[in-house]
Amino acid sequence: MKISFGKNFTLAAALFVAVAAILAFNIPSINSAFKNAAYSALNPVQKNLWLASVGTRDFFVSLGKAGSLGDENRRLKEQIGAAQAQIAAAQNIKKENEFLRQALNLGLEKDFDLKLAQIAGKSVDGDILIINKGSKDMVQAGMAVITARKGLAGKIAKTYDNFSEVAMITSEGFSFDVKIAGEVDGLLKGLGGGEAAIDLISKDAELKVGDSITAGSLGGIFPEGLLIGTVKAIHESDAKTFQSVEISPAFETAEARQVFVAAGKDPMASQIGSVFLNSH
Amino acid sequence: MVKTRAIPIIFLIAAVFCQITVAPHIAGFLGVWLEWINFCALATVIIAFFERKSGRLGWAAAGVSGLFLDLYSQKFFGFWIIVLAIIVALIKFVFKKYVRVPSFW
Repeated sequence: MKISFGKNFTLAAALFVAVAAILAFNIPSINSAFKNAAYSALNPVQKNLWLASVGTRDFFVSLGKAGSLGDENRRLKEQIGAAQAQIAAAQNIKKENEFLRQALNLGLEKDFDLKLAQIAGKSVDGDILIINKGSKDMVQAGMAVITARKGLAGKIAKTYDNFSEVAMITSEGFSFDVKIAGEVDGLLKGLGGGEAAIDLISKDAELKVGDSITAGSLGGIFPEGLLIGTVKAIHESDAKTFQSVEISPAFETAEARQVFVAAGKDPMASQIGSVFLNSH
Repeated sequence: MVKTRAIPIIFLIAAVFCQITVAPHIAGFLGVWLEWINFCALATVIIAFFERKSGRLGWAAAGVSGLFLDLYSQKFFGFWIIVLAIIVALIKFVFKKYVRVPSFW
Protein backbone atom coordinates (compact mmCIF):
# COMPACT_ATOMS: atom_id res chain seq x y z
CA MET A 1 0.00 0.00 0.00
CA LYS A 2 1.35 3.38 -1.00
CA ILE A 3 1.21 6.08 1.65
CA SER A 4 1.12 9.67 0.39
CA PHE A 5 3.00 11.67 3.03
CA GLY A 6 2.24 15.00 1.38
CA LYS A 7 -1.53 14.42 1.33
CA ASN A 8 -1.60 13.22 4.96
CA PHE A 9 0.50 16.18 6.06
CA THR A 10 -1.86 18.64 4.32
CA LEU A 11 -4.88 16.93 5.93
CA ALA A 12 -3.25 16.99 9.39
CA ALA A 13 -2.28 20.65 8.95
CA ALA A 14 -5.82 21.57 7.86
CA LEU A 15 -7.29 19.72 10.85
CA PHE A 16 -4.84 21.43 13.22
CA VAL A 17 -5.73 24.86 11.83
CA ALA A 18 -9.48 24.08 12.09
CA VAL A 19 -9.21 22.90 15.72
CA ALA A 20 -7.01 25.89 16.65
CA ALA A 21 -9.50 28.27 15.00
CA ILE A 22 -12.45 26.70 16.84
CA LEU A 23 -10.61 26.92 20.18
CA ALA A 24 -9.61 30.53 19.49
CA PHE A 25 -13.18 31.52 18.58
CA ASN A 26 -14.36 30.18 21.95
CA ILE A 27 -12.23 32.71 23.83
CA PRO A 28 -14.92 35.20 25.02
CA SER A 29 -13.21 38.39 23.77
CA ILE A 30 -12.44 36.93 20.32
CA ASN A 31 -15.92 35.36 20.13
CA SER A 32 -17.61 38.69 20.97
CA ALA A 33 -15.47 40.66 18.51
CA PHE A 34 -16.07 38.13 15.73
CA LYS A 35 -19.83 37.92 16.32
CA ASN A 36 -20.13 41.70 16.54
CA ALA A 37 -18.23 42.14 13.26
CA ALA A 38 -20.28 39.43 11.54
CA TYR A 39 -23.60 40.82 12.83
CA SER A 40 -22.57 44.32 11.67
CA ALA A 41 -21.72 43.03 8.20
CA LEU A 42 -24.88 40.95 7.86
CA ASN A 43 -27.26 43.33 9.62
CA PRO A 44 -28.47 45.24 6.52
CA VAL A 45 -29.58 41.98 4.87
CA GLN A 46 -31.00 40.52 8.09
CA LYS A 47 -32.88 43.69 9.07
CA ASN A 48 -34.56 44.04 5.69
CA LEU A 49 -35.39 40.34 5.49
CA TRP A 50 -36.96 40.50 8.96
CA LEU A 51 -39.10 43.53 8.00
CA ALA A 52 -40.06 41.94 4.68
CA SER A 53 -41.05 38.75 6.50
CA VAL A 54 -43.33 40.67 8.89
CA GLY A 55 -45.02 42.36 5.91
CA THR A 56 -45.37 39.09 3.98
CA ARG A 57 -46.79 37.33 7.02
CA ASP A 58 -49.36 40.12 7.55
CA PHE A 59 -50.40 39.86 3.88
CA PHE A 60 -50.90 36.08 3.99
CA VAL A 61 -52.66 36.18 7.35
CA SER A 62 -55.16 38.77 6.02
CA LEU A 63 -55.54 36.74 2.81
CA GLY A 64 -56.32 33.61 4.83
CA LYS A 65 -59.01 35.50 6.76
CA ALA A 66 -60.70 36.95 3.62
CA GLY A 67 -63.51 34.35 3.69
CA SER A 68 -64.57 35.20 7.21
CA LEU A 69 -64.33 39.01 6.91
CA GLY A 70 -68.12 39.51 7.14
CA ASP A 71 -68.40 37.56 10.40
CA GLU A 72 -65.30 39.23 11.77
CA ASN A 73 -66.68 42.68 10.89
CA ARG A 74 -69.92 41.95 12.79
CA ARG A 75 -68.00 40.60 15.76
CA LEU A 76 -65.66 43.61 15.79
CA LYS A 77 -68.60 46.05 15.73
CA GLU A 78 -70.01 44.32 18.80
CA GLN A 79 -66.63 44.53 20.46
CA ILE A 80 -66.34 48.25 19.60
CA GLY A 81 -69.61 48.90 21.42
CA ALA A 82 -68.36 47.09 24.51
CA ALA A 83 -64.94 48.76 24.23
CA GLN A 84 -66.44 52.28 24.11
CA ALA A 85 -68.06 51.68 27.48
CA GLN A 86 -64.76 50.41 28.82
CA ILE A 87 -62.90 53.44 27.44
CA ALA A 88 -65.18 55.78 29.36
CA ALA A 89 -64.45 53.88 32.56
CA ALA A 90 -60.73 53.67 31.72
CA GLN A 91 -60.44 57.44 31.23
CA ASN A 92 -61.42 57.98 34.84
CA ILE A 93 -58.95 55.32 35.96
CA LYS A 94 -56.24 56.88 33.75
CA LYS A 95 -56.57 60.25 35.47
CA GLU A 96 -56.37 58.57 38.85
CA ASN A 97 -53.41 56.46 37.65
CA GLU A 98 -51.49 59.50 36.35
CA PHE A 99 -51.95 61.20 39.65
CA LEU A 100 -50.66 58.13 41.50
CA ARG A 101 -47.68 57.75 39.14
CA GLN A 102 -46.65 61.32 39.71
CA ALA A 103 -47.08 60.88 43.41
CA LEU A 104 -45.19 57.60 43.64
CA ASN A 105 -42.59 58.20 40.86
CA LEU A 106 -43.59 55.01 39.06
CA GLY A 107 -43.59 56.41 35.51
CA LEU A 108 -41.71 54.12 33.17
CA GLU A 109 -40.07 57.02 31.32
CA LYS A 110 -39.04 58.50 34.62
CA ASP A 111 -37.28 55.37 35.83
CA PHE A 112 -35.89 54.16 32.52
CA ASP A 113 -34.11 55.39 29.42
CA LEU A 114 -36.01 53.68 26.64
CA LYS A 115 -33.73 52.80 23.73
CA LEU A 116 -35.41 51.85 20.47
CA ALA A 117 -33.85 48.74 18.93
CA GLN A 118 -34.48 46.94 15.66
CA ILE A 119 -34.79 43.15 15.71
CA ALA A 120 -32.14 41.66 13.42
CA GLY A 121 -32.88 37.95 13.75
CA LYS A 122 -33.61 34.98 15.94
CA SER A 123 -31.15 32.38 17.19
CA VAL A 124 -31.25 28.99 15.48
CA ASP A 125 -31.53 26.99 18.69
CA GLY A 126 -33.40 28.93 21.33
CA ASP A 127 -35.83 31.74 22.10
CA ILE A 128 -33.12 34.35 21.69
CA LEU A 129 -33.50 37.50 19.59
CA ILE A 130 -30.67 39.60 18.18
CA ILE A 131 -31.17 43.39 18.37
CA ASN A 132 -29.06 46.21 16.93
CA LYS A 133 -28.16 47.96 20.19
CA GLY A 134 -25.12 46.92 22.21
CA SER A 135 -22.72 47.98 24.93
CA LYS A 136 -21.76 51.09 22.93
CA ASP A 137 -25.39 52.20 23.37
CA MET A 138 -25.08 51.63 27.16
CA VAL A 139 -27.08 48.42 26.96
CA GLN A 140 -26.17 45.96 29.73
CA ALA A 141 -26.98 42.35 30.51
CA GLY A 142 -30.10 42.01 32.63
CA MET A 143 -31.95 45.05 31.26
CA ALA A 144 -35.62 44.58 30.43
CA VAL A 145 -36.73 44.49 26.81
CA ILE A 146 -40.27 45.73 26.24
CA THR A 147 -42.69 46.40 23.39
CA ALA A 148 -44.40 49.66 22.45
CA ARG A 149 -47.54 48.33 24.18
CA LYS A 150 -45.57 47.92 27.41
CA GLY A 151 -45.46 44.17 27.04
CA LEU A 152 -42.40 42.37 28.34
CA ALA A 153 -40.38 40.65 25.61
CA GLY A 154 -37.47 39.43 27.78
CA LYS A 155 -34.15 40.64 29.08
CA ILE A 156 -30.69 41.30 27.66
CA ALA A 157 -28.71 38.08 28.01
CA LYS A 158 -25.45 39.08 26.32
CA THR A 159 -24.08 42.25 24.81
CA TYR A 160 -21.64 42.90 21.98
CA ASP A 161 -20.36 46.33 20.94
CA ASN A 162 -23.23 47.06 18.55
CA PHE A 163 -25.63 44.16 19.12
CA SER A 164 -27.27 42.29 21.98
CA GLU A 165 -28.91 38.94 22.52
CA VAL A 166 -32.34 39.05 24.16
CA ALA A 167 -33.50 36.02 26.15
CA MET A 168 -37.26 35.96 25.58
CA ILE A 169 -39.55 35.15 28.53
CA THR A 170 -40.24 31.80 26.88
CA SER A 171 -36.55 30.81 26.72
CA GLU A 172 -35.58 27.81 28.81
CA GLY A 173 -34.44 28.62 32.34
CA PHE A 174 -36.03 32.08 32.40
CA SER A 175 -38.04 32.65 35.62
CA PHE A 176 -39.47 35.59 37.56
CA ASP A 177 -42.49 36.47 39.68
CA VAL A 178 -45.77 37.54 38.07
CA LYS A 179 -49.27 38.58 39.05
CA ILE A 180 -52.35 37.05 37.48
CA ALA A 181 -55.45 39.27 37.20
CA GLY A 182 -53.55 41.84 39.27
CA GLU A 183 -53.72 39.93 42.55
CA VAL A 184 -52.62 36.28 42.35
CA ASP A 185 -48.87 35.64 42.69
CA GLY A 186 -47.05 33.00 40.68
CA LEU A 187 -43.66 32.09 39.25
CA LEU A 188 -43.30 32.23 35.46
CA LYS A 189 -40.94 29.73 33.88
CA GLY A 190 -39.86 29.70 30.25
CA LEU A 191 -40.14 26.25 28.69
CA GLY A 192 -38.50 26.94 25.33
CA GLY A 193 -40.08 26.69 21.89
CA GLY A 194 -42.25 29.78 22.45
CA GLU A 195 -43.94 28.23 25.51
CA ALA A 196 -44.08 29.43 29.12
CA ALA A 197 -46.02 28.37 32.21
CA ILE A 198 -46.76 29.81 35.63
CA ASP A 199 -46.28 27.61 38.68
CA LEU A 200 -46.60 27.97 42.47
CA ILE A 201 -50.12 29.46 42.27
CA SER A 202 -52.20 29.03 45.41
CA LYS A 203 -55.00 26.48 45.04
CA ASP A 204 -57.42 28.94 46.59
CA ALA A 205 -56.92 31.41 43.73
CA GLU A 206 -59.82 31.59 41.30
CA LEU A 207 -58.44 31.90 37.79
CA LYS A 208 -60.06 31.90 34.40
CA VAL A 209 -58.82 31.61 30.83
CA GLY A 210 -58.06 35.07 29.42
CA ASP A 211 -56.94 36.62 32.72
CA SER A 212 -54.11 39.08 32.15
CA ILE A 213 -50.64 38.40 33.53
CA THR A 214 -48.31 41.21 34.57
CA ALA A 215 -44.79 41.42 36.01
CA GLY A 216 -44.68 41.22 39.79
CA SER A 217 -42.75 43.40 42.19
CA LEU A 218 -41.17 40.81 44.50
CA GLY A 219 -37.97 40.25 42.53
CA GLY A 220 -37.45 43.89 41.57
CA ILE A 221 -36.17 42.69 38.21
CA PHE A 222 -38.73 44.18 35.84
CA PRO A 223 -40.90 47.27 36.24
CA GLU A 224 -44.10 46.19 37.96
CA GLY A 225 -47.19 45.99 35.80
CA LEU A 226 -45.55 45.21 32.44
CA LEU A 227 -47.87 42.98 30.45
CA ILE A 228 -46.65 39.40 30.10
CA GLY A 229 -49.64 37.77 28.38
CA THR A 230 -52.91 36.02 29.16
CA VAL A 231 -53.92 32.71 30.73
CA LYS A 232 -54.31 30.03 28.02
CA ALA A 233 -55.10 26.95 30.13
CA ILE A 234 -55.37 26.11 33.83
CA HIS A 235 -54.01 22.87 35.31
CA GLU A 236 -55.25 21.82 38.71
CA SER A 237 -54.62 18.46 40.31
CA ASP A 238 -55.57 17.08 43.75
CA ALA A 239 -52.15 15.45 43.92
CA LYS A 240 -50.34 18.79 43.63
CA THR A 241 -50.03 21.49 46.26
CA PHE A 242 -50.22 24.32 43.73
CA GLN A 243 -52.04 24.94 40.48
CA SER A 244 -50.29 25.96 37.28
CA VAL A 245 -51.29 27.73 34.09
CA GLU A 246 -50.12 27.83 30.49
CA ILE A 247 -49.81 31.32 29.04
CA SER A 248 -50.17 33.06 25.69
CA PRO A 249 -47.27 35.55 25.65
CA ALA A 250 -48.17 39.15 24.75
CA PHE A 251 -44.95 39.43 22.77
CA GLU A 252 -45.30 37.78 19.37
CA THR A 253 -41.97 37.29 17.60
CA ALA A 254 -43.70 37.01 14.25
CA GLU A 255 -45.35 40.44 14.58
CA ALA A 256 -42.45 42.29 16.19
CA ARG A 257 -40.37 44.82 14.26
CA GLN A 258 -38.85 46.88 17.04
CA VAL A 259 -38.49 46.73 20.81
CA PHE A 260 -37.39 49.07 23.58
CA VAL A 261 -34.51 48.35 25.92
CA ALA A 262 -35.33 49.74 29.34
CA ALA A 263 -31.96 51.01 30.57
CA GLY A 264 -32.11 51.99 34.22
CA LYS A 265 -31.27 55.56 35.14
CA ASP A 266 -30.80 54.38 38.69
CA PRO A 267 -27.22 53.06 39.13
CA MET A 268 -28.73 50.17 41.13
CA ALA A 269 -30.70 49.02 38.11
CA SER A 270 -27.71 47.44 36.37
CA GLN A 271 -26.70 45.73 39.61
CA ILE A 272 -30.16 44.28 39.99
CA GLY A 273 -29.87 43.06 36.42
CA SER A 274 -26.51 41.41 36.98
CA VAL A 275 -27.70 39.76 40.21
CA PHE A 276 -30.62 38.35 38.27
CA LEU A 277 -28.35 37.21 35.48
CA ASN A 278 -26.07 35.38 37.91
CA SER A 279 -28.98 33.66 39.62
CA HIS A 280 -30.60 32.83 36.28
CA MET B 1 -16.37 24.25 -11.79
CA VAL B 2 -16.36 27.34 -9.56
CA LYS B 3 -19.97 28.07 -10.53
CA THR B 4 -21.20 24.59 -9.64
CA ARG B 5 -19.57 24.91 -6.22
CA ALA B 6 -20.55 28.53 -5.61
CA ILE B 7 -24.26 28.04 -6.28
CA PRO B 8 -24.81 25.48 -3.48
CA ILE B 9 -22.78 27.62 -1.05
CA ILE B 10 -24.89 30.71 -1.87
CA PHE B 11 -27.97 28.51 -1.44
CA LEU B 12 -26.67 27.50 2.01
CA ILE B 13 -26.14 31.11 3.10
CA ALA B 14 -29.67 31.93 1.90
CA ALA B 15 -30.91 28.98 3.99
CA VAL B 16 -29.27 30.46 7.11
CA PHE B 17 -30.92 33.83 6.53
CA CYS B 18 -34.27 32.07 6.02
CA GLN B 19 -33.71 30.23 9.28
CA ILE B 20 -33.06 33.32 11.39
CA THR B 21 -35.38 35.86 9.77
CA VAL B 22 -38.16 34.26 7.70
CA ALA B 23 -38.86 31.02 9.62
CA PRO B 24 -40.00 32.71 12.88
CA HIS B 25 -42.67 34.58 10.91
CA ILE B 26 -44.02 31.86 8.63
CA ALA B 27 -44.00 29.41 11.55
CA GLY B 28 -46.68 31.61 13.13
CA PHE B 29 -49.33 30.68 10.58
CA LEU B 30 -47.97 27.64 8.71
CA GLY B 31 -47.05 25.68 11.83
CA VAL B 32 -44.62 25.92 14.72
CA TRP B 33 -42.82 22.80 13.43
CA LEU B 34 -41.31 24.97 10.67
CA GLU B 35 -39.22 26.75 13.27
CA TRP B 36 -37.72 23.44 14.36
CA ILE B 37 -36.47 22.51 10.90
CA ASN B 38 -32.82 23.37 10.46
CA PHE B 39 -32.87 24.40 6.79
CA CYS B 40 -29.12 24.85 6.69
CA ALA B 41 -28.27 21.42 8.10
CA LEU B 42 -30.86 19.90 5.79
CA ALA B 43 -29.30 21.61 2.76
CA THR B 44 -25.83 20.36 3.79
CA VAL B 45 -27.15 16.79 4.06
CA ILE B 46 -28.76 17.09 0.60
CA ILE B 47 -25.51 18.36 -0.92
CA ALA B 48 -23.47 15.58 0.71
CA PHE B 49 -26.08 13.09 -0.43
CA PHE B 50 -25.96 13.99 -4.11
CA GLU B 51 -22.33 14.86 -4.68
CA ARG B 52 -19.68 12.49 -6.07
CA LYS B 53 -18.09 10.09 -3.59
CA SER B 54 -14.74 11.84 -4.03
CA GLY B 55 -16.26 15.34 -4.06
CA ARG B 56 -15.29 17.97 -1.48
CA LEU B 57 -18.37 20.18 -1.72
CA GLY B 58 -19.99 18.36 1.23
CA TRP B 59 -17.05 19.32 3.44
CA ALA B 60 -17.15 22.92 2.21
CA ALA B 61 -20.92 22.99 2.85
CA ALA B 62 -20.41 21.64 6.38
CA GLY B 63 -17.80 24.33 7.04
CA VAL B 64 -19.80 27.25 5.63
CA SER B 65 -23.18 26.29 7.11
CA GLY B 66 -21.53 25.25 10.40
CA LEU B 67 -19.85 28.65 10.61
CA PHE B 68 -23.09 30.54 10.00
CA LEU B 69 -25.11 28.33 12.35
CA ASP B 70 -22.48 28.80 15.08
CA LEU B 71 -22.76 32.53 14.55
CA TYR B 72 -26.47 32.44 15.44
CA SER B 73 -26.33 29.63 17.98
CA GLN B 74 -26.14 29.66 21.78
CA LYS B 75 -23.91 26.59 21.82
CA PHE B 76 -20.10 26.76 21.93
CA PHE B 77 -18.43 27.99 18.76
CA GLY B 78 -17.66 25.05 16.49
CA PHE B 79 -20.58 22.89 17.65
CA TRP B 80 -22.40 23.01 14.32
CA ILE B 81 -19.19 22.73 12.27
CA ILE B 82 -18.31 19.52 14.15
CA VAL B 83 -21.87 18.11 13.98
CA LEU B 84 -22.21 18.77 10.24
CA ALA B 85 -18.69 17.47 9.51
CA ILE B 86 -19.57 14.23 11.33
CA ILE B 87 -22.84 13.94 9.38
CA VAL B 88 -21.03 14.51 6.05
CA ALA B 89 -18.35 11.97 7.04
CA LEU B 90 -21.03 9.41 7.91
CA ILE B 91 -22.88 9.96 4.62
CA LYS B 92 -19.66 9.64 2.64
CA PHE B 93 -18.63 6.53 4.57
CA VAL B 94 -21.98 4.80 4.04
CA PHE B 95 -22.09 5.75 0.35
CA LYS B 96 -18.50 4.68 -0.26
CA LYS B 97 -19.01 1.31 1.37
CA TYR B 98 -22.59 0.34 0.60
CA VAL B 99 -24.49 2.60 -1.85
CA ARG B 100 -24.42 3.76 -5.46
CA VAL B 101 -26.42 6.90 -6.30
CA PRO B 102 -26.45 9.31 -9.28
CA SER B 103 -24.20 12.33 -8.70
CA PHE B 104 -24.90 15.91 -9.86
CA TRP B 105 -22.00 17.93 -8.42
